[in-house]
Amino acid sequence: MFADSVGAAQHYGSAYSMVDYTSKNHGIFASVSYIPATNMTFTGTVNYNKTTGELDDFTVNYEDKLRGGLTHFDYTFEETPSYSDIDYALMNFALGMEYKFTPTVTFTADMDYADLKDKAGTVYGDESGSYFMIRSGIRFDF
Amino acid sequence: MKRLISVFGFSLLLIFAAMISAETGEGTQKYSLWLGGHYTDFKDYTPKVGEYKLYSDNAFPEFKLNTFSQNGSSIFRLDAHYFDYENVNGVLKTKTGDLFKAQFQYRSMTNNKGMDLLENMAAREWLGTGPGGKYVTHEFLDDVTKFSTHREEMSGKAELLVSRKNDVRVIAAHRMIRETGNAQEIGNTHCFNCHLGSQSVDVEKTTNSFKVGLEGKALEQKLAYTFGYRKFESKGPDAYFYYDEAKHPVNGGSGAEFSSRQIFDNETLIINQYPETEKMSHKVTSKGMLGTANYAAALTYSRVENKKINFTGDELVSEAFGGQLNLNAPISPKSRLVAKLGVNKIDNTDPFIDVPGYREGRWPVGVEAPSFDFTRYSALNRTNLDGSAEVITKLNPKMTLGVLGGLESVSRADYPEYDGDNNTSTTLIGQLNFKYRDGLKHTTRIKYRLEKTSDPFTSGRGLFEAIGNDILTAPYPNSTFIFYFQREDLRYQAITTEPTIKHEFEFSTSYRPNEKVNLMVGLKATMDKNSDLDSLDVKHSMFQPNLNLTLTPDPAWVLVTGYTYNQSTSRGPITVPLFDG
Repeated sequence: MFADSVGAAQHYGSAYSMVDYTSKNHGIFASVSYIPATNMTFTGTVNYNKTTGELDDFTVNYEDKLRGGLTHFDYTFEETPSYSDIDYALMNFALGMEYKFTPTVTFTADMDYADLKDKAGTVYGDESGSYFMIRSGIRFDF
Repeated sequence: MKRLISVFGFSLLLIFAAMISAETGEGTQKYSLWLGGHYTDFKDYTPKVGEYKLYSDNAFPEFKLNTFSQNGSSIFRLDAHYFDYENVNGVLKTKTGDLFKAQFQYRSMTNNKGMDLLENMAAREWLGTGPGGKYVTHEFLDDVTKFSTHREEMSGKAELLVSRKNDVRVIAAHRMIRETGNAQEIGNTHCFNCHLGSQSVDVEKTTNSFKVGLEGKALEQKLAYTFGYRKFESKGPDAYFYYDEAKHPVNGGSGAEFSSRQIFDNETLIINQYPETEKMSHKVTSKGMLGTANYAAALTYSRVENKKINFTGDELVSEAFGGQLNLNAPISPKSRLVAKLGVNKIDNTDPFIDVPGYREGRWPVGVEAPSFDFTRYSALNRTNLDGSAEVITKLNPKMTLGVLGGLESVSRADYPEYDGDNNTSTTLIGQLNFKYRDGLKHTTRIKYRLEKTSDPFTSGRGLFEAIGNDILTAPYPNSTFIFYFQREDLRYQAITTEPTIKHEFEFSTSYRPNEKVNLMVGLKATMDKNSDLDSLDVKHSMFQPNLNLTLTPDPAWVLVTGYTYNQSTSRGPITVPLFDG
């Protein structure tokens, strides 16, 4: 006798189900550029992306394979589809301006903001977070 | 350091060459220097929203420099942007007539990566009245929670005219990619414990590639030869992981028995080791005219070796031979033929894998220990053939129609068995392309493509297991036990994600009623399925409409807006083991 081997009456094989996984993405963007005077420019951009992904509910046909065995196991999978859920939205917002003091000296300023809302989480956990940047400087053209 | 010095020296050489070219006579010079700074602020989880940004709530100096000078046929251009100490871009280009041309580029970026919390694998045995002793656990072997790398890329390319007689040129290029930082490495042990361990490991990966080539003209044909060399290596420390001492997961007994079934146990071993690959390639190309047709042809050979791993003295080498011929020929005043033919053969070495005998020394007298030694024949050993012919016809001044027929073949020499049935997948392709263009006012494109594949690649091992009770018998005398490894005999049902039929449809139209409005509408859709998999209806579909609108109500205002929707569905099997320890 060999210890801890698979017993002859204990192997039931596997069962399966065909399942759909559907992902959806909506992306909206708008950008605007306005030049009110020859020495001034304004720009703005908005991006919004929403992504979802989900696995359909499923059941597997296993009773005929178990033949009365493994009665203490629960082979329903009510929670399993939610493990693959994806649900997040990313919003980007940017503004910029340029003002030309002289033909060779220009002042610039801009900002960039991104906000991510994660409703489902992944193996990395809740990925909600935000980023903000503000920038300014002077450009010399010659 | 030597590499940095050589790159710096090369840059000075290019600048010197540019200065020489710029010093002779009158020309055009433009300079733009931006000096400023920025402040960044992050909140909550950073790796997703700031995946390619330096994670720092600080102010940084920043500058941009753009220069352009031209003197006759000599051009010098430099574009540089310093955002922060990890995100820098610079391109320097210089050209002296047709005599000398060179380019140097440096770019670097931050890449933040998420930390796998190891919580997606959570399971514990249920015995009917309460939890059992078998369950999955995990731990973090250090307190590092942030993983980030800094990727730097330096490349240079120079081209020198050696002889005007046959337009002979020498071309040399170098590219270096270096990645430093840290990464999450995960090991798992599954004998006594089902246990995952995570740790941070320093990263220092380098890829160096060089190319040297010679090109010239002979008999009105352009001929070229290029030699390439590429090496990837990791100089970072290896990650180590302790594999449990083998014993029963619940009662802790039977250690020697369980150990005899493992390749290793109770050892700390290197995990997730990077290869050290070295690639050498040769490429001969020819371009020119064949009668009234333009042609481009290439012959290639490459050899890649993993220098780090050595299986029982065998080299781990992959060789590839390839040939490609493209033709573009007029076949009537309104039609032309675009034909492509390619062949590619990949041949990998077959290393012998020597593993310890299964339950060595623990079998009854007269029973030989099963051996699981094997030769790894690569499923990538294959010959690829692909050819296509497209006739493009201008139906009238506004309409163009393209009709394409093609064939792709993948012949796998050693799959599913060594020197076996020569498993071959053949794909027939048909495609229609229609374009309508009414000046700048209206353009419409419609494309439909159909691919039919016979014998697409399927997994050589079945996806499902049959009920072992009905099939398996004890393989050795004086024993009633069946062993885990016998489950391989129970596997059935070929599986693949590759389709037997695929439809692709693309539509786009743009309408510009006047100079102030431009509207674009498009739709992409694909659908594929595999009807060779018995009862498994594996299929995929994708639907992607888009709308873009550009408005210029007056010269001061420009508004661009748009919407894109994408829906993708994949149908596949979820398989559940009906298992009892």
